[in-house]
Amino acid sequence: MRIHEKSRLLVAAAALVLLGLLCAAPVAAAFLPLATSKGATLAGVLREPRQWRLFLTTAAVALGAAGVATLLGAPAGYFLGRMPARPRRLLAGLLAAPLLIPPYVTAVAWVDALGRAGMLNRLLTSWDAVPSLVRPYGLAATIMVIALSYFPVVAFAVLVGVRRLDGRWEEAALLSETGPRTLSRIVLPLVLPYLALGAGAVFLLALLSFSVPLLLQTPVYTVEIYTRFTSFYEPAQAVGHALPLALFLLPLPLVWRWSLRRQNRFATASAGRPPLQSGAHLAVLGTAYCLCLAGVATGVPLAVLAVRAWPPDSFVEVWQTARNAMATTLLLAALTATAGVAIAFFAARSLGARARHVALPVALLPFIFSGPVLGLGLIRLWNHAGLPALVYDGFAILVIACLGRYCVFAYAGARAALDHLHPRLEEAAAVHGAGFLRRSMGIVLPAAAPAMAALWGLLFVLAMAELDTAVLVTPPGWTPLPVRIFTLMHYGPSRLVAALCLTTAAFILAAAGIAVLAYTKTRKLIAGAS
Amino acid sequence: MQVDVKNLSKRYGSVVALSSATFTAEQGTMTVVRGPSASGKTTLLRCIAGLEIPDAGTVSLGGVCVSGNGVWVPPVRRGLGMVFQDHALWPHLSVRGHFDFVLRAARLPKRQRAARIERLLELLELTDCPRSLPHALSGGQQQRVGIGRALATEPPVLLLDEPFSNLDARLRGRILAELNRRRETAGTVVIVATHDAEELQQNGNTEFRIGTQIP
Repeated sequence: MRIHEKSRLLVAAAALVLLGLLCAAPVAAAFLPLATSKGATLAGVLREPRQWRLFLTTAAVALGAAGVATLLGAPAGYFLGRMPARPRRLLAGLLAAPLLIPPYVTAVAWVDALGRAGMLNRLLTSWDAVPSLVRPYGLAATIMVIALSYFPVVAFAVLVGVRRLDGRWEEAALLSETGPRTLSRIVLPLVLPYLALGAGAVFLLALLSFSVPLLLQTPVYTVEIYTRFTSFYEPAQAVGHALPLALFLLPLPLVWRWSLRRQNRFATASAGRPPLQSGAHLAVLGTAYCLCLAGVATGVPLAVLAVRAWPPDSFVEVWQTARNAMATTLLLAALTATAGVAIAFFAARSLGARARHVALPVALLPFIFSGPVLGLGLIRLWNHAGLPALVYDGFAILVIACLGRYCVFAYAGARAALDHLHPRLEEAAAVHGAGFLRRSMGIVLPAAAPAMAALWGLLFVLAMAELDTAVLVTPPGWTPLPVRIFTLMHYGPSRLVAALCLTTAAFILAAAGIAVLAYTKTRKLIAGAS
Repeated sequence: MQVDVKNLSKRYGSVVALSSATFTAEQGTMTVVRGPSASGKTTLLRCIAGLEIPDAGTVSLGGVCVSGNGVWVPPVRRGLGMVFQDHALWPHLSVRGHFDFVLRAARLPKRQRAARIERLLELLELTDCPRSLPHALSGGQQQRVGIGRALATEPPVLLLDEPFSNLDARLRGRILAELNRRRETAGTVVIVATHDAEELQQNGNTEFRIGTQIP
């Protein structure tokens, strides 16, 4: 329902201004020096002999991580899709953990385990026949750490695909074919759109990954942008590297479109009905596989960090030295989540069809040009004397950075949630004289409360783990935990770093747990009310 | 190949879907399983096909027990053809692709596959849409693809679950004639589940009534 109300128009204008200020303005500010150099800087950047190496390494990291994540995640998704509800929920929760734990925490753990003095390295080299085969640094390590962090994206995409399959398609094939061939010729082609979507998402996340390549010393575009700016103060050359990075993004919309088309074509009313063949043996095999995967991706890194952080005095030391960082992180996450959900809700509620087409790409800009570019843009935009300095020198710049980077998720999520609401809900209120704001707060927000709670949790977790932009704009006295970990990692892994990493992971997992609970409770409440 | 069903029972939780079904379908005969909706016709066919594991009773094909008494032979090794009530067409395969899939599974040489596909397309009047995907076909065409898929490998036992509901009288007659030809020449056992068996009764087929509501 779109009624031309004054209050709606005002809210829409405010939402557009905020989106512009948070997302478009910093990106424009970042690219301004490049634009003013009339192509000379970009040509210089592209002619650098390092370009090929950067291009190939970035491609290898993104493709390698997407490939390994697909190999790990696709079977997990298939097994989960074929399991009864209760074990599926439990295992899905376990498999979601690697996605929640920031990749740099996993990287720190693997460096700690496989470094020269690392416990796994010592174990490997203690057998004379086995030399130290695994290096904790370099391309292969970067690919593995990113893949171990993001494989759940593929697993959950495949899970959705498998759950949407009609079991009879498999049964019809099983009358004439064996299980493996049915899997390869019927199930795989039908799940492929979801698999491609998941793999594409991992490709994007790996492409934009900054902290892991930096910690594991792999030269990729995001690291080059950061280094050019912080070490040489060459802002134009730094953002010049964001353009070849953007080239990698070009095929993604095509994958997205192809996938959605195929999903719609395969949509069926009787989805979710599993075939007979999903028997007990598959459940046992699937459970074992998922537990192994969760163990390697979450259990081992956390165990390594726990051993390193031993004795418990480390956590007392963390409390004494980093309690301000903890408070900053929690405050930053809470403010980002609250402001982000509010902006996203009102933007999704108020923007008309034409403005919507603009709002999503604008919100996407800071994310797809990577965290360091956003940080650079924020510095150029706010690092001025007068009023901007008040923002730049204080805690607000961190909130602005997190909002700019992640509001695309909040906006897209809010839009999807509101599009799913039945229009009659609001029409009934409008007929009885409720204005735009009253309808928004009294009817639409309560009806969309579960989705908004989930979005709040998502933003909270993302802001808690935020490093890529925060590392450039953190003001004195307001250091969040991830930036503190990053700073301490310059001196190598240590007891304190391990304890800080565990504390960050514990905060994030607890926040995610609370968000899931809030989502479930609000959904039950809404279901009960209706 | 004779099909023997003895005391076959199946429950889903507390719901009894099939209770002590017993019948024999001789080689070269057509058995019509009659009964109202939810009387267990589909469950019976699915148990024979191996898509459900019965709680009690046995299914034997050609005198060999394939289900029951601690035995369960997977569907692929039973060598049956089945038409599903709602077709169960694979959305990513064309009409030709459906026939090709099952013929490849039967390890038929390429030339024979092509010849058989052409015959099926002609028999089922699908020659104008061999490359169409299921979503582009009408309900009747989808049903014919489902029937063609079941007929393609010329299996010794054909299970048909409400196979004619979307077809006009002329096509129904044509497909019935093909089924009769197969049971007479190749000894195919045809088991048809339907709630409306008038047309099939006229052919003098064996009838097996299922469910308690039938007078």
